Amino acid sequence: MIKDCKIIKDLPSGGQKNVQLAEHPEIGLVVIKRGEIKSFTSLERIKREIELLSVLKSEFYPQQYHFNIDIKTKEFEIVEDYIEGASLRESMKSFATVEQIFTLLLSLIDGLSIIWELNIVHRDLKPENIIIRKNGNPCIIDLGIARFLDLEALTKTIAPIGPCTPIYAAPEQLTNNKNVIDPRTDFFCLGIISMEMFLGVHPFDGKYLENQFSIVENILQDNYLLETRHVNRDERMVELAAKTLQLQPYNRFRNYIQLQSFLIKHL
Amino acid sequence: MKVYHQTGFRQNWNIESFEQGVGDGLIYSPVNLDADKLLLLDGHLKRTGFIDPQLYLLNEAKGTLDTYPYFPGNIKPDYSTPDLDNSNVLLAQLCIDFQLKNDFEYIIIPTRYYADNPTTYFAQTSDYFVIPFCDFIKNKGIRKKILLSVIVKAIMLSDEEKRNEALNWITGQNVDGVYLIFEDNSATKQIKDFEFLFNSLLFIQILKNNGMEVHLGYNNTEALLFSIAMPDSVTIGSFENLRSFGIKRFQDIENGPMRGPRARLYSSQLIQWVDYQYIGAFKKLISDYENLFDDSEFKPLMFKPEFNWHFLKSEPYKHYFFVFNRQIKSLPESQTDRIENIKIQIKNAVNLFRKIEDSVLLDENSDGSHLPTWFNAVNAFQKEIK
Amino acid sequence: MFETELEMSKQFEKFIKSSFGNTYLKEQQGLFGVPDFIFYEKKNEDFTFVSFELKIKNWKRAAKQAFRHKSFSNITYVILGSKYANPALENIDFFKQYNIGLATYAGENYFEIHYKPEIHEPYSEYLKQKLIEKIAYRRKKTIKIRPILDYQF
Repeated sequence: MIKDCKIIKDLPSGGQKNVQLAEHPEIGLVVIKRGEIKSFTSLERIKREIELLSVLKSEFYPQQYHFNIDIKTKEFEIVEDYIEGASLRESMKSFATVEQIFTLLLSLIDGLSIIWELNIVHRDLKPENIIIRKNGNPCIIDLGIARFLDLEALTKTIAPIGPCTPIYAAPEQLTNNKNVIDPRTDFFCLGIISMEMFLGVHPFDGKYLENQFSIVENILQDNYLLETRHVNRDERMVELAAKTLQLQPYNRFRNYIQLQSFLIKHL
Repeated sequence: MKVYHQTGFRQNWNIESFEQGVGDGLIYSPVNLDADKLLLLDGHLKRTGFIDPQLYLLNEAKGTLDTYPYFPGNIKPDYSTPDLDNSNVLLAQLCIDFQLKNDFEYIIIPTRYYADNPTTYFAQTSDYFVIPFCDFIKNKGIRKKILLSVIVKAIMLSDEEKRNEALNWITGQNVDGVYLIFEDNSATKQIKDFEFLFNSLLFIQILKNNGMEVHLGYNNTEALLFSIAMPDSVTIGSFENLRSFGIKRFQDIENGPMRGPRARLYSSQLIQWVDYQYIGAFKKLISDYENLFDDSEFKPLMFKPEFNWHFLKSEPYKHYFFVFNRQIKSLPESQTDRIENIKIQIKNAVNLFRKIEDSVLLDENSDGSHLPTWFNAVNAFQKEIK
Repeated sequence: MFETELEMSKQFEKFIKSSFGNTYLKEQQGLFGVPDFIFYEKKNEDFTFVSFELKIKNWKRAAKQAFRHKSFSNITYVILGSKYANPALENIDFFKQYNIGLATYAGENYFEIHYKPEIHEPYSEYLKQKLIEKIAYRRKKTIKIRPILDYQF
C-alpha cells in the first residue's frame, strides 16, 4: 500500500517516528507513520488493540488502511486518513469558556467511549493529537502510536519540557504502575487538557504555580493551578479538576458515564 | 440501609426470623445448606438475598459445599489453581447458572482467600473470576446486578500502598458493587482497634464515593459503627463465626470436640453482648436491671431463672436479630444525622456502663470497653469527610 | 517463694489443706470462670462456698475473674503473691467497692487477709445448685474454715 503512495511532505513527528503526508491514488490524502517499537512487554495486548482499532469506523478516528508490525526489524507502519483541520494545540483559544470546554469534552468522550468499551485505554491524549474538524467535531489521531511507546523508557530520563516529555501523563503512567492503567488514566489527561484550555497555560506548570518543580514533578505531587492572574477560578472547573486530577484513580470519576453526567449537569 | 441475615449453622433460625419481618433478606451458606434444599426453598426467601459462593479455599469440600454444581471438585477431582486456566469460563457459567436458577437479588462473583497477600492476587482474581463472570453475564444479556466478593485483609487497611492497590482495583472492575468482608484478627469479641475501624470506614466511604453498592458481610455489632459510612447493607448473624470472618470455618479439618459458645445477650442500649452469667449479678445489684435489656417476645423467657442456656437454643440469637435490626432501621437517613445519632448512642452506652460498674465488675468482653475507641473512630471519620 | 502461678498454686494447696481441710474443688469447670479453688462447708442442708483466685500479679484481672465467682460463691478472694501485691493494696478500695476479698500469700504458711468481704447469697441460684450437685455426694467435713467465713447469717 505504501508503495502506491506518492509522498508529498514530512509532517511534524514529535521525534519518535517518521510521519509523512502522502497521496494515494484511490483514497486521497493519507498519513504514513513509521517508527521504532520500543516496547515488547505487552505485545499481545498491543496486537489485540491494533486489530480492534483497524476495524473502527468512526468519525472520531481517522480511518486506518494499513498496519504492519515487523518484529525482526522492530518497526511499525501505519497508513491512515489525513484529517483536515487545526489541532487543538493550534485552536486552543477557541475553547476558553466552560461551556465550550465541556461541549468539546462531551464530544471527545463520545469518541473515546468507543475504545473504552473495548477495554482500550488511549494513553496519549494531548492537544497535538486532537484535530478539530471543520464541523467543529474532534478527531483523535495517533491512537495507534501510543501502543508502541513505553513511557518507562521516557520516564527513566525525566527532563523538563522537551519533545518527549510526558506532560500529559497521569501519575500512574509516570510511575509505570501498569496494573492501574485504565480509562481513568485518560480522564486525568482530559483533565489536564481541559484546565489548559481554561487557564491558557498548563495547569501543572511550575512557572505559574510559582514553585521550582517541573510539570512532571507537580503532577506527582498533586500541585495544580485553578486560576491565574488573567483567569478567575470557576467552580465547575474546580470540581472537574477535583474529579480528574487526583493522584489515585479511585478518587476520580469511576467511569465515563459519571464524567458525562457531570458535564451534562453543568452545561 | 438493609439488613441481611448471614446464615450458617441453624439457618432455620434466620429464616424463621425473616418470615416474622426481621431483616431484608438472607445470604446463603453453601457449606451449611445442601444445594438441592436451597433450590427447593420458596422464592420469597431468595428473591431479596444472595449466595456467598464460598470458594475461598477453591477446592475444600467443607460441609455441603460439594453439592453445588460450581464446586471445582465437581468439575475435576483434585482441582487446583492451574486448572483455573482452562476451566474458569465453565466455572463461571455453572456458578452464574446456579444463582440464576435460584433467582437471587444479586449475582455474586466469588473470591479466594490467602493467608498472606500475594502480589498476583488481584490479577488472578480478574483473570479467573471477574472477567469470565462479567463476560458471560454480558454475552447472555443477564440483567441482575453483580457484586464482587472482596476479603479486605488487615494489611490492605494499614499499608497505604496496598490500600491504594485494593481500592484502585475494586473501583476499576465493571461491577455494580461489592460483597465486602473485613478480616478482623482481633482476639477480643468486639473490635477495639482504632486504626482498623477508622480505615474500614474510609474504605467503605471511598467505594460509596465511586457510586458502588457496598454490602458488608460477617458483621457483629460494629455494623452500627460502619453504618456511618453509608453502606447499602450490613448483616446479622447468630454464632460468632457468622459475625466475624475466619477461614477456619471453611477448612475441612478434624476439629476437636466443639466447645459450645458462652451464652450472651445483646443490649442495644449498651451496644454490647453481655455474658449471660452476669445477669445474676445485675439482678442482685442493680435496681432496674431489666431496663438495660430490650423488650422482645424472647425476653421474658430468657429472664426466667430456670432458662437453661445452651448454644442450640435460638432465643438469644433471635432476640439479637430482632433488636439489632430495629436498631439499624431506626438510624437517620442522612449521613450527618446518622453520625450524630451514633455518637449519642455510644455516649449513652458509656454512661450506662459507668453506672453498672459502680456495683458490677464486668470482664473485657462484656464491659463496653470498645466504646471509647468507637467514639474516637466516629469523630476521626467525621473530620475526615468534612 | 514462687515464680510461677503453678508453683504458687501447689504451695497454696498444701497450705489450705493443712489449715482448712480437704473440702475443696480445684479448677472446677462448667461454672462462670474457672476458680483456682472453691472451698466449701456443708452444714446439714446448708452450703457455703468460698472461691479463691490466685495470681502472681495483675490484680485487676484477678478481681474481674473473682467477681465472676460470686455467681456461685458466698465469698470470693483474690490471693496475690506478696512480692507484687503493693499495687493491689494501694487499690484496696476497689476490692471494697466490689466486695471482693483480698489476701496475700508468700508461700508455706504466710497467708494474710487484708480485706474480708461480706458474705452474700450467690448471684446465680442455678450455678449454686450446679455446684451443690458436684459436692453433694462427698462426705468430707470442713475443719477450721471459720477464719475465712466468719459468717453470721
